[in-house]
Amino acid sequence: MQRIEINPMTRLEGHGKITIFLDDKGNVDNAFLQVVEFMGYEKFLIGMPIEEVPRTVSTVCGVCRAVHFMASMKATDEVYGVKPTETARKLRELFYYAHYVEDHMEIIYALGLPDFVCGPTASPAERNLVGLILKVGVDVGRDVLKKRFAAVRIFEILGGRPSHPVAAIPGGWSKRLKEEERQEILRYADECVELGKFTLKAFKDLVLSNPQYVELIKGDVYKVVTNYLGTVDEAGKVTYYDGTQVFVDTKGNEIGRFSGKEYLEWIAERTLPWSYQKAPYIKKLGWKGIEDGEGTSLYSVGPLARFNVGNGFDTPGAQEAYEEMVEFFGGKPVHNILGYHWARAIELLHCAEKVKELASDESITAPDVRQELGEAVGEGVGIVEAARGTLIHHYKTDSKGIVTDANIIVATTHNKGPMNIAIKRAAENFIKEGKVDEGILNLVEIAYRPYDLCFACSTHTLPGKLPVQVNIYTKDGELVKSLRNFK
Amino acid sequence: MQKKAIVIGIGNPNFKDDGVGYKIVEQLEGLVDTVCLLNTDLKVIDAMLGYDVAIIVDGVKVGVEPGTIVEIDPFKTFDKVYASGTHSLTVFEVIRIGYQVFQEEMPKEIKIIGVEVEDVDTLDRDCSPKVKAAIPKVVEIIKEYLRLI
Repeated sequence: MQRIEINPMTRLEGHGKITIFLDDKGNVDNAFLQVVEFMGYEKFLIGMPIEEVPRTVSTVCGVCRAVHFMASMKATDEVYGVKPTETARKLRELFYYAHYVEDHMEIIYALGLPDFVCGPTASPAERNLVGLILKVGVDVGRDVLKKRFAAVRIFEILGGRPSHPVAAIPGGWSKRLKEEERQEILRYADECVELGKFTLKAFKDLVLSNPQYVELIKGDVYKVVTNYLGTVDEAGKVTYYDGTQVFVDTKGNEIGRFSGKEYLEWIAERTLPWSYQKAPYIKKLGWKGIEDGEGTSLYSVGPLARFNVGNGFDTPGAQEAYEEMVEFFGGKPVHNILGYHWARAIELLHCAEKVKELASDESITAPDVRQELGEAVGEGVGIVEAARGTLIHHYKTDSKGIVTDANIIVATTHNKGPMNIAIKRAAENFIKEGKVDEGILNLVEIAYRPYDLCFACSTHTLPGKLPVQVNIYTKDGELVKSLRNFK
Repeated sequence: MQKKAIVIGIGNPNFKDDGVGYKIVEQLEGLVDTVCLLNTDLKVIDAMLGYDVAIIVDGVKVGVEPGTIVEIDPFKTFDKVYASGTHSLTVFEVIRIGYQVFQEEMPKEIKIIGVEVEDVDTLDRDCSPKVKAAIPKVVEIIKEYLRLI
């Protein structure tokens, strides 16, 4: 049996690895994604005053820094038995939507579009954001990056810093929004909406107008049939900051819904002998293995999952785009994982439109941003939709609010099973009779990139990327070829 | 005329030596414009636009003795590092993008000063001794370079 390993190197060595086993004929026998994630934050929080936790967990990741902050803040609210004031909630949501605009923009332009615009088999040297800018033009690139900056500036105004935010307080927000700041945000909001519209247009013009890409998107190679988990509002629309968590099955029928601590009744984690990370599944369906298709108990999270769970979006531009995507695929649920990129672009516009909506509300500058705190009740669960999918923070504290236990489930963990299937399916399709070339590296990357997996982005040293190496072995363990995406 | 300068510290202050850039920048606050970022993404461009000089301080892993100070000229590194990353961008890629789209507003001088790390996996707000010892040396290098003394 041959073994192919895709190894992240440098600081992530040993933390994320893809191993593909070939049978004696050189075809794929199996594929495994091994991930060590989260790097001990749960233990780090123990002994910490609960009010320090949101600021601390905002450093889990430099990209998705607002999401841990927000889930943690919601859990902290519960620990103190308070709900945020109306104005504080609006500020939190505005902040969160701005973060989504920035985050989705980076993922779409840096990771999603280059595969299509530069070509899925283009050299990694060309297939990146630099290559994308060269293709679409420097002026367009400048305009997109400037519009993205509008979202970062909103994040900074509300969160206190462009990097990890510091504005969390239980039941509130640390700082009232000034009217001149609201006016500034309103101006930035227009740029965010333009960015959202442009991104969807770019996706249509650059991706959907190409029959080969349409075939790739609609085809079976990048298709994983699972259940889905997402968060909806009272009208069943996609929402991110707060709502009800809903599971739908592979046909789109609701399996059940939960909120807060009820997640424990719905989500179980299976220890896998070949991975440091557990694979979550729907507890009420029982463990059915790393298998997709009707009857699976695996579920996916993230933009495509939200698209499949929600019955639409509550803003006009996003709703129109949602309907177009449903029509393109001929209905829902959509299991074609390249649809993640499209759903992400729809959410970018949705969040931009929500930024505009909230910033247009003059009452957002009201002074009621703080709440009287009660006694620490000892337990809190905060669930949000992170850009990458459902994020759960669950803390227990003593009577003084000192953390005694913490459980954090992140999107990459939820998607563990589906990502394994996606990688295996791509490998099965592209590796035949032991023939492996440079293209395999990217064709496998394309399979997990839609999920935007986050191995351990909380630390980094230069060069600050996730290099990938493919090692190909003969059945006798002899290294015959080594491929990698870095020099 | 004094050049307008910014020092950008990159790293996670909660992961031992990964916080070295952050700690160096803390010691320069008030003397020069500073910003701390958790990782290298497009926010690096945001931070440096409009400045004449940008100094990026970060932990590096190039295989030398921990605590060793490594100076990198990004202009000589552009064509040696590329990425199709899965989540984040390299600092070189980010700088290259900056020059590509914001040619006039990017600093004319960019210097990267790295400190070889020993441990970036342990959750600890303190750096390891060898890395910690490099912090004041890097602070002095930056002060001298920017003529802040």
